[in-house]
Amino acid sequence: MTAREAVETSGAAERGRSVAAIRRLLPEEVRGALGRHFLIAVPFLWLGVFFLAPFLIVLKLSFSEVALAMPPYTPIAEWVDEAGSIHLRFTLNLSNYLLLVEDSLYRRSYLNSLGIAAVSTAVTLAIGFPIAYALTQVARRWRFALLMLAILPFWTSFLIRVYAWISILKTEGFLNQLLAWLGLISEPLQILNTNWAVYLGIVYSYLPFMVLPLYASLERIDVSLMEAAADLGCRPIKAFWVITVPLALPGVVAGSLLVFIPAVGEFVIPDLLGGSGSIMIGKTLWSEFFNNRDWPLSSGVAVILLVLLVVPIVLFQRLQLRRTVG
Amino acid sequence: MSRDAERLRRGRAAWAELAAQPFIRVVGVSKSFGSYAAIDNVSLDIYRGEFFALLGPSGCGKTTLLRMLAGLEFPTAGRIEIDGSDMTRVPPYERPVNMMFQSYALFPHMSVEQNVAFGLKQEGCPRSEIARRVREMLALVQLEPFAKRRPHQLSGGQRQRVALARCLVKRPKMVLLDEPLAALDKKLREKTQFELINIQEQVGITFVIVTHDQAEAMTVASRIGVMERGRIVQVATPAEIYEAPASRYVAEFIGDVNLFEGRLLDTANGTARIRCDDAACDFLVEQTVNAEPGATVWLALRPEKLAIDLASPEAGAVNQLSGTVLDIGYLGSLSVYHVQLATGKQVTAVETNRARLVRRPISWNDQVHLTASPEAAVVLLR
Repeated sequence: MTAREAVETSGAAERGRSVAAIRRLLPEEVRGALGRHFLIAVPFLWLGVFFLAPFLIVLKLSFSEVALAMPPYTPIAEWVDEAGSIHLRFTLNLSNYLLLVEDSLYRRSYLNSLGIAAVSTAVTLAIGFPIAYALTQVARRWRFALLMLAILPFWTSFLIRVYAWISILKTEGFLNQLLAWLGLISEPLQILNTNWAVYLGIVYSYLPFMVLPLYASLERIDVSLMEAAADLGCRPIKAFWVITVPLALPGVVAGSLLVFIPAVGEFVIPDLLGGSGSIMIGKTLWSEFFNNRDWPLSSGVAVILLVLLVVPIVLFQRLQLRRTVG
Repeated sequence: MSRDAERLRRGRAAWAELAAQPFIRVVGVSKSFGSYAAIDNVSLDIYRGEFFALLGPSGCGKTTLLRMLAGLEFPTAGRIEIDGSDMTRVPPYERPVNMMFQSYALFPHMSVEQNVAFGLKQEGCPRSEIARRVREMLALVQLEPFAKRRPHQLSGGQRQRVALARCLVKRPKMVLLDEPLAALDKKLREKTQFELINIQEQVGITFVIVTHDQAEAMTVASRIGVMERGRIVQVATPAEIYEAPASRYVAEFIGDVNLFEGRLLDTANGTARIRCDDAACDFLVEQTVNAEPGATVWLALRPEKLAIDLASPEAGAVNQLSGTVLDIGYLGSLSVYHVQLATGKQVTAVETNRARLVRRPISWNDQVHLTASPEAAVVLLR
């Protein structure tokens, strides 16, 4: 060790010692609590700054009115001079929410979104479960490679992948050419700009979100449980339903929520693949915000969407809690 | 104790009688995984009501053999019969056999009750009968208060009993136990061994246990099959295995043993004389040895059968060795002496500490004399 290194190490050691000395001044329980609180504070701070604060802004916006101004809405609190006395006036405008409830366009958008998301989630589950199950059955050395294949689409931009579906699905696209070449159809099928294309796009895009949690929970199931079931007189197919499926339930719930929640608010897929008939709430929100420049109304749309999504999230939390408590 | 004696008698009758029909027959069974032969041409007969132990080090194929009895693996060659019917290729869910897994394999999403009832449900048993038999079984393993618990809310010993109850409730023709007590601590394991024996007596079902613990095998089993690298090398009662091992492998695997290589000098009047160069001694052993004089044989001498003394034995004593005490292991109940002979060979002798050790009579570096009676040693040909 050179002299300089020695000095540097001793310097570092001294610094370490002085930090330790300061820490030692604090009582034991305070030191522990400080560490814990700091650890918990980081994610809370993050959520507070990047989720709660923006949401409160959106919530505030949803109670104002559209105005020809910059920014294009009225304030909900302002100083007014009334008969000489200056006071703060609050204006809570509920018309946005009333419109959202009364106008069938929004109701249909919400219901459509929930319906499309629910059906897509069910289809994703139906496709994802066999994939995840097959992954747990192949030899261990192949699993990593196969899992990588499941994640591989993420290496290409989501937008580009959705665009690619356009060229596959359009009337003169690959799919129609293939079907025509096979002689299965004489007229090209109209798939693009229908709900079918939206379903296809969502299932394709969100499949990995279903497969990964399913794989994680299926992989944890001890092989000897299936052997024990067989030993006790249970045929393999039945054992799959009474042992494997119930034990994979946490994965099913997690995967379904990971697909359902973003699918409800999906904008890109219905916008690019869906037709004018397939109204989803994401598209409605977009047009309110950018085309109509109605910030307050689109804020209301977003708030209600969030409330609708909070319900399944809370249910999921309950389930998780019940599982951990036993 | 009398019940144990009765068990031994009852068990002994089965395999000692020539007319007895084996209940389980393993005939020339082999099992390979790829190019690796896990089981190599094993034949084995197990009788009704036996508590049979498969004993061997890890990797000797004992679990593979057990899994073939359960139907979880199929033999590459050979035949397995249970109660007269060929079960070689019958899947596990159609066999009258239940297995207790080493991990217990309890269904984590079911209560104790549901776990035990699972097998009966598969049979399509009426609900009232399921409830009654599950209750009886939980009473047998003393788990009634825990019927509604989930497996993760139980202790290791309780889980083990749920697993046992789940096997027994189906009243199988045979129960297979794969290292059933390996997960328990020593005290509980020893207690559970006796519980297993009691339960087996009460239900009267044939038990086959796989274990690597020779003390466990000797405690619970009526007969032991010792396995070595996919073969069964000896099948006998615990006492026979210990006192008359078939080979050096068995002698060394079961308990501790001093082994001497020697040359058979002569065999007269049922007494063999063996010259052991590494002990610098001619041993006299009361045993009829089926070998020609001059053949290489091995002499196995258990440490507790060697008497250790500071005084030299009287003139004319046979089978005596002398050496220096290298090391003493005080185990409380026993003292283990490691003695180095003049030839350099190390020998172990064990003495029971009958009196409290106030002053150790034998100490390090003492010159000691070891003697063994002619009945103490056993001559091995392999």
